[in-house]
Amino acid sequence: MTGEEAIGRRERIARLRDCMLERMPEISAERARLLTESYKETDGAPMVIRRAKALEKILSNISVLILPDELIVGSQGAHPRTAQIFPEYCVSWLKRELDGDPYNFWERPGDRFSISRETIRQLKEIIPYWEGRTNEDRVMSLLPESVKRAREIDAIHWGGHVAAGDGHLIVDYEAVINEGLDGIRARAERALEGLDLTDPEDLRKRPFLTAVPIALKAAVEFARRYAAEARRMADREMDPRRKRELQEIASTCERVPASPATTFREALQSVWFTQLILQIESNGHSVSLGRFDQYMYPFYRRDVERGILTYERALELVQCFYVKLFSVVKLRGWNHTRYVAGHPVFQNITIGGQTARGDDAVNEVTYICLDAMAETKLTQPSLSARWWPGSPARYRKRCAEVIRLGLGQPALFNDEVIVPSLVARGVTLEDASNYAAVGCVEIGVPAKWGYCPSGRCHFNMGKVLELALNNGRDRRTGIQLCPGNGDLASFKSFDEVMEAWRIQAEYYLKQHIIFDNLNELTKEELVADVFCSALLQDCIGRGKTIHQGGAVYDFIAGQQCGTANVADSLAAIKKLVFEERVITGTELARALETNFEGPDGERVRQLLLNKAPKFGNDDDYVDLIARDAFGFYVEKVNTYKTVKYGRGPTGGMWQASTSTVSANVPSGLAVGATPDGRKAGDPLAEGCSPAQGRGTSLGPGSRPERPAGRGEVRRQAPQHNGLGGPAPEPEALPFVAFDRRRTGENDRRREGFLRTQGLAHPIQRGLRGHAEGCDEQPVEV
Amino acid sequence: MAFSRVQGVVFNIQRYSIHDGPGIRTLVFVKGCPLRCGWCCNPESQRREPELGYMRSRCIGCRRCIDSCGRGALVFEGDGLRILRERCDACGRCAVACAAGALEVFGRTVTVEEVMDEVRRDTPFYGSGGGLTVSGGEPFSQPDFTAALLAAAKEEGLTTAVETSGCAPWEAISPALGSLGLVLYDLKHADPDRHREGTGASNELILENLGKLAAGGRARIRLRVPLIPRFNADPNSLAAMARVARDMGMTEVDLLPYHLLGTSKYKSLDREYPWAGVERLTDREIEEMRRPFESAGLGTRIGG
Repeated sequence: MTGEEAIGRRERIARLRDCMLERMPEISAERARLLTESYKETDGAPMVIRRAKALEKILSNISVLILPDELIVGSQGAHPRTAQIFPEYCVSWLKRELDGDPYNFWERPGDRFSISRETIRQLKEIIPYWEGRTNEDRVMSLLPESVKRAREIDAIHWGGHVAAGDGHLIVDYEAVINEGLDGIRARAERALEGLDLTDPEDLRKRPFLTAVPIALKAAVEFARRYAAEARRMADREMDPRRKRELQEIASTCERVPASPATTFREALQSVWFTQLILQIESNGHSVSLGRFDQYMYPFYRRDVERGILTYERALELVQCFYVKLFSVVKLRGWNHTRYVAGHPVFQNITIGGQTARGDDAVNEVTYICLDAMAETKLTQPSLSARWWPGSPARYRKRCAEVIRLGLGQPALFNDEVIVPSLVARGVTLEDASNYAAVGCVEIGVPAKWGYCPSGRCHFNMGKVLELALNNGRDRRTGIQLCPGNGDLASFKSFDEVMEAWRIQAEYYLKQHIIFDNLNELTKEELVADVFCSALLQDCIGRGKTIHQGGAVYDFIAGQQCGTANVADSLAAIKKLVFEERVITGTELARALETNFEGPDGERVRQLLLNKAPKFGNDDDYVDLIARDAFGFYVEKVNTYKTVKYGRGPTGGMWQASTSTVSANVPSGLAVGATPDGRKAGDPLAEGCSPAQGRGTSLGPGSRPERPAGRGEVRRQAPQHNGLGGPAPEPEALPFVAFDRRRTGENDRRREGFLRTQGLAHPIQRGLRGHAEGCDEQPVEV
Repeated sequence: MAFSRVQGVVFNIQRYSIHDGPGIRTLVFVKGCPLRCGWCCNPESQRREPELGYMRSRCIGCRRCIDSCGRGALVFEGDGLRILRERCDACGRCAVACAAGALEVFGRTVTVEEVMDEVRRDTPFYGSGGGLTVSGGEPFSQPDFTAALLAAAKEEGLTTAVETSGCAPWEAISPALGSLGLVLYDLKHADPDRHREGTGASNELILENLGKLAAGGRARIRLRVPLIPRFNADPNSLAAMARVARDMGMTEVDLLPYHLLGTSKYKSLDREYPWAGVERLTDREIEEMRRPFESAGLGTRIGG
């Protein structure tokens, strides 16, 4: 590595970064227009074929863009950060927002986009075609009244879930780079030829297997358009260095993703094209990259041995790749945006951990990923570092150093908890050892796990609690869908309160399941992702899309927020109303109804805040209530089937999740005052973190035994003195001591809970220095 | 074990601390200190006996505390409470009655075993480096308790440390030495008179103890110099301390810049803050203050 190389790299990345950041992302009508044209041409054909042909039309015509300085190429459109439109899912919000309701795209309070007059005109032109044909229209027409009403009172919320694709998965990048799309296509063609068309089962597979080669060929042609563009630019380029770079881009794009990659660079370009086309095919977010360091390392090693690659050069390529990942933006309706604020796309890269044989998996590409994160400093991709007792000291230290930069990256995942919990669900040990992070914090097996290990409908625990304490009636709307067993004024014991919680939690969980299963069935019929399915095992083998049950594993989950508010509220009721009797149920009910604004309201609120234990401080009184309340949800959700049940995958069942993103803010708006002292409309607690400002006596050990489901985000703030002293030494960071002793063996009761939840994985997000007692600040997830 | 029932007065136990010794540590703050440093950021640590503190900003004026007090020690004046300190025995009934958490008793009597129950909770996180640090106040103002606590921690395989002013009879310090891995030892001024002016006591005993500790060679010593404007944050004072450090065989010192975080606690205890109005040092000034130490061949660490 030479100093000159490093300077050149830094300058290149700085310019690419500026290019991405200097302008607002821009909305394009290209995809929507091409899709609409294609749909009109293919009317009447099987939907999977129509979807593949639409993708073909889009990839053959969408703008090709190679930016100055780029080494890895491929863009969502003509603008460095283009947001395409996906009208097949939903146009209702688009129609409103094109007219500035509630905001013009460029005037939103956050997540702004620019849009040209011409784009507005084109989009308005195609909206009428889609009205009545979208995924949302279909779902809404089929929804039972109870589900609609549950949404109306905000006990459940599905902002993006009908309006966008599924995402939340890791396709088989390893196959893409080692087999090439042509190789995968040949497999599909052989499967198609091998069908016994007298067998109705095989006949059912035919449309999908016919569609796969169309989509894969389209992807290859898309890359060739880039090759042609690079050649054209190279011919005109005066700077000899850039000319060579463009020629290299051209020859790379001529080879991949069609053929197996022969170099590190080709593998990287192939992965990027794949990722990009997945983003163009559908707009589901959280399309993640899996164990990037594992599948890239053989190429790295070979190139280094051949003397055609250095660490420095590989770092530059990976940084270029990171910038490309950052270029992916999605336009979501404003209402959905509130739940996932900050332009998140959740493309997660997993590094480290162990191999299927139980050896440590860290390699030089692992460090390249960390160094690229430290130097590129962009919000995409997300980086997840797997952690196990055999993780080498250099790796731990480098992770700690990158975390210390304050980027909130990498997140840490504990193999010791996750691998056994996957095995407990029926995942093979080999696959479990190969797990990777999906989206923000979900877990999946790369190349084998269907959409959405988390990321379905939002379940508003705060609202469910409010209903439970008010005989099932919503104070805000007066709606009573599920009569309860009484209210705060009438409950005679804490057991009755818990019973009330269970009644409402079960009822609204059912509404959430009905909605999501209906949405899944509709998506299966209307918006199959052929390209994506072709790249997931074992869709080609089974002749099924992912929606039809093509994945090897398929467990899905929703999202929830407010666990800590529920636990804190129940603990306050138990302690102050039933044990110490310092306040009656009637008085508490009145205080909540009046949002603590009555004559004694503030004193009651202070009592609730200060005289009852709060979740997240390693206090069993409230932590065990959290276990019971949340555990009930976990236990119930695990009993429901998904639409893939019995159709091929291992699983086909629902599972629990604690992921929130920013949903705790809008979800809180609909929830009145709660017995934890939270005022009406205030944000709920996120994930399974303590409520805001209430994790006051954090020990590192107050974390792992807390209830967790599929995804868990918990921030840790060491008692940094905030006085400008040195940042914590890596050795002092708590995650070096992720320890299973804390998650079970010490405490039988907790162990029981871990069993009921099936999966628990403590995750460490960014550590920041905090003055003692400081509120934890929101961080983009 | 005999030492598990030894009692002491503690005003805080802080888990997950990363600045007071290696690794992740649990800090036990012992109450009572022979010094009265004007810049002290923990005024509640100074007196041995429990005391009542009142955080006016949290008070909602409900006055339930007044009814709860059996000694008539609380009166409501203007928009806040006044504690008649001569009547208050810090029984804590008012703190129980206070919904808002505006009243708090600093200090409680605990046994070594009770402290260890808390300390043990984080055992998996201590790893090979972390452990227990006894801080204060002055840990050696309660020598039996401190020694017993350190012995208990050592017996459980934790690393042990104290943060001390060094202002205690040698007989109070020496019993703990067998259980002590690291001594974070304050050096506030090299000049006895200036030391007395700033802290209320001469530094002679402190230097003598430091010499004995260094000569004994049993526990590792980290010397810590608070950088206090108007007291020792001047080149001459710092150079004199650097000489002391070097003479004691130190190779590096921690420099702890003055801060204002204790201000509100003085108010809550109805005490005057002697250093009121003194501003923090700038980053640049702090950097400058490394120089006298580095000239003496000592390494420096800001914070520590």
